[in-house]
Amino acid sequence: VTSGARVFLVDDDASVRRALTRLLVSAGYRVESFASAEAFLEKRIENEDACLVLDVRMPGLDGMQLQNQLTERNSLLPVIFITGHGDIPMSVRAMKAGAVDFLAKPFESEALLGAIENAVSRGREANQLQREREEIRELVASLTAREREVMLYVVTGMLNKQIAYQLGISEKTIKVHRARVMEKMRAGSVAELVRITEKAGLTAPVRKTD
Amino acid sequence: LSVFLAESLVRLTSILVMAAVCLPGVVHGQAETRHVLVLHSESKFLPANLIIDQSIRATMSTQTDVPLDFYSEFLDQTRLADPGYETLVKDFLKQKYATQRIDLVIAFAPAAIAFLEKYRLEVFPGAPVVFCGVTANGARNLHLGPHTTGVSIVFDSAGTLDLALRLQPDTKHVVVVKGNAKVEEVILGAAREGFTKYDKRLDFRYLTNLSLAEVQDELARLPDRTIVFYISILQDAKGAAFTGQQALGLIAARSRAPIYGLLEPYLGHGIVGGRLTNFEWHGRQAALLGLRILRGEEADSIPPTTDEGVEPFSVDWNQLKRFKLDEGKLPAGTRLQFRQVTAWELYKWRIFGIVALCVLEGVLTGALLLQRRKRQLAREALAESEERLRSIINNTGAMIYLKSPDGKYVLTNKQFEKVIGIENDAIVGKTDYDIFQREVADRLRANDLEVLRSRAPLEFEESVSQNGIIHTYVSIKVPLLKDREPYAVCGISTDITSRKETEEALRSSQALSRSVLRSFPGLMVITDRQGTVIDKNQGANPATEIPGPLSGLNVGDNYLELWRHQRDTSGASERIVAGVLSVLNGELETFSIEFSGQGSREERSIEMTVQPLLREQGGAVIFHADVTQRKVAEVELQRHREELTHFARVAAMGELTASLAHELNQPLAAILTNTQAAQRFLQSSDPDLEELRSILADVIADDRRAGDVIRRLRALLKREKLEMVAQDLNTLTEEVHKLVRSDAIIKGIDIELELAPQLPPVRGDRVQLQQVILNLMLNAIDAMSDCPKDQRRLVVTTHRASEGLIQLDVQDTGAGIPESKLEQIFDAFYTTKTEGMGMGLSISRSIIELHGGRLWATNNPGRGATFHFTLVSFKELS
Repeated sequence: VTSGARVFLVDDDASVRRALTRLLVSAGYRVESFASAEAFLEKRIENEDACLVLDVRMPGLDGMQLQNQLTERNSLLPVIFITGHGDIPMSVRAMKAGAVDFLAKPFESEALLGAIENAVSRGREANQLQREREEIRELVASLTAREREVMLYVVTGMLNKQIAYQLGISEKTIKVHRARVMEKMRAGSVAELVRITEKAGLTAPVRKTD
Repeated sequence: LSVFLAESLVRLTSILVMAAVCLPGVVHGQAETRHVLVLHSESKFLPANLIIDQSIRATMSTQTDVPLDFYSEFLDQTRLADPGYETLVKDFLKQKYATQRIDLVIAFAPAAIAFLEKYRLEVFPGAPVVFCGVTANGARNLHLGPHTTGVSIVFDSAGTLDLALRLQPDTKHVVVVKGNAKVEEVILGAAREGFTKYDKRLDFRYLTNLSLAEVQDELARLPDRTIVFYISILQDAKGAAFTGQQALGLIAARSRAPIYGLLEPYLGHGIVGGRLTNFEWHGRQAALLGLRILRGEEADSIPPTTDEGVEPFSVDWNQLKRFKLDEGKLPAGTRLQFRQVTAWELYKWRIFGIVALCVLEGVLTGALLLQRRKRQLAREALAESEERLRSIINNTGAMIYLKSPDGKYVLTNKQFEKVIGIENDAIVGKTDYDIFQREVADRLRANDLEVLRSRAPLEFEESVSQNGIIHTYVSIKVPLLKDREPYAVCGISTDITSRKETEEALRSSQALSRSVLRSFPGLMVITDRQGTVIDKNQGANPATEIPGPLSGLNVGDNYLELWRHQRDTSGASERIVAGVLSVLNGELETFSIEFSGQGSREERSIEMTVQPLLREQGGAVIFHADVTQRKVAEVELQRHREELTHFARVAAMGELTASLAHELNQPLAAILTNTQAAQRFLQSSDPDLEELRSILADVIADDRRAGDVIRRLRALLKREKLEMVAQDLNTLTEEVHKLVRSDAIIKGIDIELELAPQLPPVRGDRVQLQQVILNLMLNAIDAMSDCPKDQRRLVVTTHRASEGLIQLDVQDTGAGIPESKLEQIFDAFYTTKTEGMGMGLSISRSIIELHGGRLWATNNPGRGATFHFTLVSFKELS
């Protein structure tokens, strides 16, 4: 059990809220529950070990709408839907919108606990990836325009000679740029540089054909 | 005679035309298609080119029945002067006609001819050429080679000046207007030849190489005794292109002096006229030459001709009027165009004829008036004595009339007019058949004939229907004799209807009551004060057969005794005896009861009604009707209604399943989670008992919650007898709300209940009333499915409508109901929903009406509609 993780619970039924809180606390989670989507939105959510257990059907803003709003705010908070009125189209829609799981009430406690564990670890990975990506972006930002260009050729596996031809500058200059790139990007090898750029989602230019 | 001549002429002409058309066909038989190309120098839209082209096509195709295929090409040389253009056109035409043999080329105007001089062999090898549209001078210098002939054109400028000087003899100056097109240079060249004839008498000025606007300005300030000679402007000095007609129209509008011209297409566009070259005629000449070649003549064997034109002069009547030129000065044979003929000129002879008729009519009228005056004097003498007699006749209360032997009225008096309703004057000449129905008229006519035959006065009783009432008359009819022969019947008729009516009334009322009695579908018994049967209708009609003791009832029997001797357990006979007695004693106005009688096959329901017999001696009229059929139908109807109601309720529940699933799943989920959490607590070494206790309390509450949902559902689905007891409309509404609530939530609808406090109870069946409320709320939810989410609002209100009336309103914010449909929606099977049956509102209304209330719909001032129903409060009922 991932202890210490936080579970946010949004359901308009007080009895359901109470029951779920008891269950999750007994499983070692820190639980915060809300009676409506609006009440939850007022809370500022940090990117931390957490997940959201969300009822679909509620008066006012419903679960699906809340999920949409969170997506618009670039939230990484994983969402698990629970509903007393589960149908297939609704669950498909929810999963497509990025929900981790979709549980129809009544559900076995183990199913919920499993889903939460899964969601929390996915959230943690997403946060990790996000952090790394930001770091790489900072490194890329430190490159000059020319270095950046050279880097994009290097990761396609081109030799200095070829890059020089593509860019119309001397091979020697390319060599200097290449060394600076490896240094600034903290890459020990071309393979490592490829992995780093892939993580950041940078793409290589199309090769000129003769 | 002239008609005959004209017809013969027409016939002769048509024979000749037919011969002309048929002959070539006879000679050549079924010939192959020949291909003719007309090559024009200028653009397709120049009037001269259009006219030439159409004229050639029309002439050739009507003069032969060899199938012809025409092509037209337009070099457009004025507008497109680039040197390379010519070879491009050549190459284009060469390509275009590479696979299409051309059997004849007709070239119109110098540019087309010059083109052929250069490229004929290359582009149209082997095709003979007919040229046209060049002057005789130009034609002499052509180098078209062999297989060529043509017709040259004449531009008779001298002829035009002849005409101008006839109309304006004091002319001194001629201003010649021409544009910058090549062809205009050619025409001007030809025109100058003609000008030499007058170069001593007139001075010529040439407006060339100017823009159109400059030409307009020049013409606007011409001196007196000047005429304009318009050649053509296809293109001005600025390079703007026109049709010659456009340019002419623009300058003519500004010109101070009359404009004369050379070319026929310009007539009607601003020139007075002249000796004009007619292109239609010219095209025809070229076409005739072409036809001779197609028929096999060698082109070179046909010497080129000159087209001298067809008319001496053509003149535009409107231009004559504009410049006040004297029509009388025109040379004989001038074609005067566009003349607006006056009515007098058009209809001179007709007007003469009409005037002559009018005069003749006047003469005749005078003669007739004179004659009438004479007659009138003689008549006045008679009139005085006649007047006296007439006033006597007119003031009598009897109808007096005179009829001719053939039955036509000759004279009638005022009384006749009053009774029959037709004016005296209008009746003269009419017969009784025009006034009365056929049978009546037949009888009257028979009486008249009898008088005529007997030649003596006779008396008759005559009946006539007037305004639906039968009037009876005593008529004395007298024959009027002349030379012992009757020439008329004089009648005097006196109305004796009122005397007759009294006799009739008694007879008819007896007949009437008898026939009513006979036709009554059931047993009708009339008794005296003691209950003895004095009349009955039984026996005449099979529908009157009433089973039970009554079947043996006869006149003379005592009705009360009959029932007193019946033994039945239901007590009906006792009640019947009591009821009949009350009516006989005057204690009751009417008494009615239903009882059963054993029929031949089954038990029948009989309805019996007693009413007093309205006569001094008293008595009773007792009706018995078999209402078995009606009873069965009523029971059937009631059963159907109940089934339908139940069905609708089940259907409504179907719509609610999603909502109900949620209502049940919610507590079930809480219970499962709570109990599983409790299991986890119990696994710890030191379970928190307080927590476990509150878990158990929650589990119990949720279990009850689920039970409640099931109970409400069952209550609503239960099919039981109606229970009309006191109900609180607010409680019923709240319970329905709990069922609908979660369905509304998922559809994004806020339901508001505005329930009046201390609402008096209503009397009704809980299940049925809830069904109505449920139906109205579900309808309202459906009605808002298309409306924006933030505007969906459903309000249910209860309140006291007026004294003793409770009202419930269900208001939505949907699209509303078209005004024309506000009633229709309550019809059975009216539906706008795809899955609905259209029974909901119909059933709801019948339920409310069964409860003595009213259900209706209105549109809201803003959005949506409201359904209202009223019920009578329980206190009011009891």
